[in-house]
Amino acid sequence: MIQFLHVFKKDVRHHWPEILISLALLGLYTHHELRPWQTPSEYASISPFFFALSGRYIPFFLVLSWIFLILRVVQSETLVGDRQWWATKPYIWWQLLLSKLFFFFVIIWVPLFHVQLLLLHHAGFSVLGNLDRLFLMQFTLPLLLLVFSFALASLTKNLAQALLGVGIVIVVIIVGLWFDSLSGHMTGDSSPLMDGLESLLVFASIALVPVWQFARRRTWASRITIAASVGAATVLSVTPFGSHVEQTYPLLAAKDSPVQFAVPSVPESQENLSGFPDLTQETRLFVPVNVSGVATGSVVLVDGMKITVDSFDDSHWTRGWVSEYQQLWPETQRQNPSYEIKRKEYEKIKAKPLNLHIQLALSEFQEVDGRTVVLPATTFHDGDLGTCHLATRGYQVLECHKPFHYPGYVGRFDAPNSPCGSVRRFPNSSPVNLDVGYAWSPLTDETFPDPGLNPIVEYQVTFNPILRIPEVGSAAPVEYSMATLCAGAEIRLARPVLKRRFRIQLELPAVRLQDLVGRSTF
Amino acid sequence: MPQAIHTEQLTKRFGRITAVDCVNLDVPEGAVYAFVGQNGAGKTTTIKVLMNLIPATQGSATVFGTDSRDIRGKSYAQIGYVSENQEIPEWMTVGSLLNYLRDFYPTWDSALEQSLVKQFDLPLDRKIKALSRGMKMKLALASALAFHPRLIVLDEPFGGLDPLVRDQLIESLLERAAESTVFISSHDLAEIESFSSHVGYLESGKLLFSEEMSSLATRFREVEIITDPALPLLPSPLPSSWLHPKSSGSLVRFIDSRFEEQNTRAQIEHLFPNIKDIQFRALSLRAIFLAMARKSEEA
Repeated sequence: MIQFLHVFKKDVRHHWPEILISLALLGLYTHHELRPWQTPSEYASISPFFFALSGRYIPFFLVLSWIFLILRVVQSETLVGDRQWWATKPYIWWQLLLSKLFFFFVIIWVPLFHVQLLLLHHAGFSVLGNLDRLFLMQFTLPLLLLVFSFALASLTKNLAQALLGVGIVIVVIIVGLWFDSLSGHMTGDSSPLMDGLESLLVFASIALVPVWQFARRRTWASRITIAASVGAATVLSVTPFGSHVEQTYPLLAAKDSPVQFAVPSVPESQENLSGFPDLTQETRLFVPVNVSGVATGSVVLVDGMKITVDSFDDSHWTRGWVSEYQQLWPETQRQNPSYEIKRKEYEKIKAKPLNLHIQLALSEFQEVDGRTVVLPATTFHDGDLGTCHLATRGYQVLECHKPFHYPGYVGRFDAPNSPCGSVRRFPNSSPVNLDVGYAWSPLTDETFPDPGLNPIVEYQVTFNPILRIPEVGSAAPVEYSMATLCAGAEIRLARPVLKRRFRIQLELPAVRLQDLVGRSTF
Repeated sequence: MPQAIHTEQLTKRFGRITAVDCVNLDVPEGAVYAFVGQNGAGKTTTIKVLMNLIPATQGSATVFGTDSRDIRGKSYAQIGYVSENQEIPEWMTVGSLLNYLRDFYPTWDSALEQSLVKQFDLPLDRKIKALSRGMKMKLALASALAFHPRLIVLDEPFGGLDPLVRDQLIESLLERAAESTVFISSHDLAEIESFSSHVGYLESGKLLFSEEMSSLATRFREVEIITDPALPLLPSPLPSSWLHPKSSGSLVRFIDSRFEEQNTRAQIEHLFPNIKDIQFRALSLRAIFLAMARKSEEA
């Protein structure tokens, strides 16, 4: 018999309890994932509480059972140590490797793939038409799961060592995140080339080192190789290569900007409006801006902000670019982008009048393929959104599912002119007519399906009204309200297309930082 | 004679500890080589390097001409390796282990397998974890012999076994010795000296000697000299090959590690002019090893 099949048969005989557990969990997962599609209208309430609760954890336990199975199967011919019985038998290393991969193919991947086909079919999407993307999906979570578990299994002798390995990985991630937080990056403020290089370095080492380990069983050399590649990737990620933001977002003159900003003068205020001592390490500054000029059919996103401080003694200070996520719609009048500053630095300069140079990194999106949809009482299909229906989640929202990707969309709901009645506005909690509400989700890269086990992604389309931020100096609070949909309501849907990224510069002269603190409600 | 095993300056260090120190070893094909030394002398480490279970720090080793670093996969189809430290898959039964192994070896001899199972009285349907230590060693040996290996490597195979089991293992080993080279390590010389053709002695990682058993027996002699009158002191210097010289009155006793009767007699007569009598006595292997070990300790 071919050696890899021989070893495979032995592994199946040996690990049948673990195989049964993983298949049982996959069955439970399938059952749980199929339930909502049977009766979409009852989606929200039919599951008994305990079942819903347990169902939430099924994917976790399923993945855990696979990791456990991979560890057990690889470690049954452990590559670590010098007392292995099998290591002095005529095993061909690549046949042994192949037997383990074949095991995962047959015991994990084939059942999972069939479940995914079933889920696609059950959700009403074409199986044959989506087969190519379903195959591509296997290169996301299933491949990552296999590669990471395989590396862990091939570099550890037993489960205890593997747990220790997981602990080390968690510590490395925490340290990496801590380093990242120290540098105060803005999301996306790194070169895609460097990001790709870092990911490739880590993934390649984690994928290739186990192969080397099977071929040569040089455990410490393998461990050091992976640690070195992770270390190199970490060094690359925290190395300041210069701000990528300023290349991606070219500076525009105010007259050329598709959105106009004005910074009102900031009145003096008490530093701590809440009355409670602030013990955090960071202080958040809120910069009030008046907004106008966003064209109908457009949305401008505030992606990031950078504040540079000039004090009158000629000293400069900045923390660099910090991520923002704010949407500016045609009806938006005011916005308060915020910027975190280290408390120690803040305390030194908070009371001095300073000149603030503010830069905003912005993205302008244009709506395309706009269409009006009258919401039916039953399930309906939309080319971009997938299959949707109205559902009650405290208030009425659209609940949709779609194969492989969360879609990018722009939605507009003219609530005052809808037949949906009144909604509550906070903080007054009194029923009032709603303003125009917008729903937004950015267009994502659709080259690869989103990672996951289920090929069907579920999401809610929620229409959020424009925040009513009072003018600077007003004592009125920010008002929030919820949009509620109903059958018969008209919504406008479109696909957002990135038109341009740009940067604009604003000046806030002679302001004290303490007047910008705790002012989320200017 | 072609060498089954050959090492040159083979060295293995674990941090600051040198477990194997510049070992030069030759095991001719067809030999039954006893690799002896005290516990911790470096025997198992040397074997693990030979079997490519651990890499050498310096030097080289070959098995049938193949660099030990390249021994993997099919190379093991001609090597039967048994060690008391191996982690046999204990979840298997005796029968399923032998069935499983059968497909790995093109030369697996099912008749021989059955014969060994019968000879060792192995219970085919019993799980390995339920076997005694002696039975596990029998199973390991049966699985290592059933494919007619060119080289049988046994690392402390008899440690802790009762004499009956040990004799059974030795008997089956000797039945196959004609077709194989046997390399067997032990800290107890008595259990392997009766059937070994060659011997190597390892002390603190150093190979003190390695030669044919017969030449070793010829080379070592206990020498007793009676002088008249008695010598107040031993003459100095004495030949370096004379181990542990002692005098008591007119009696002088030492072990000559390079014994050739004429030469030894001439050396004695030169150093002890008033000689009355000389006697040469053959030494047991144990006595030779003790003498070597004591010399090593003195050094």
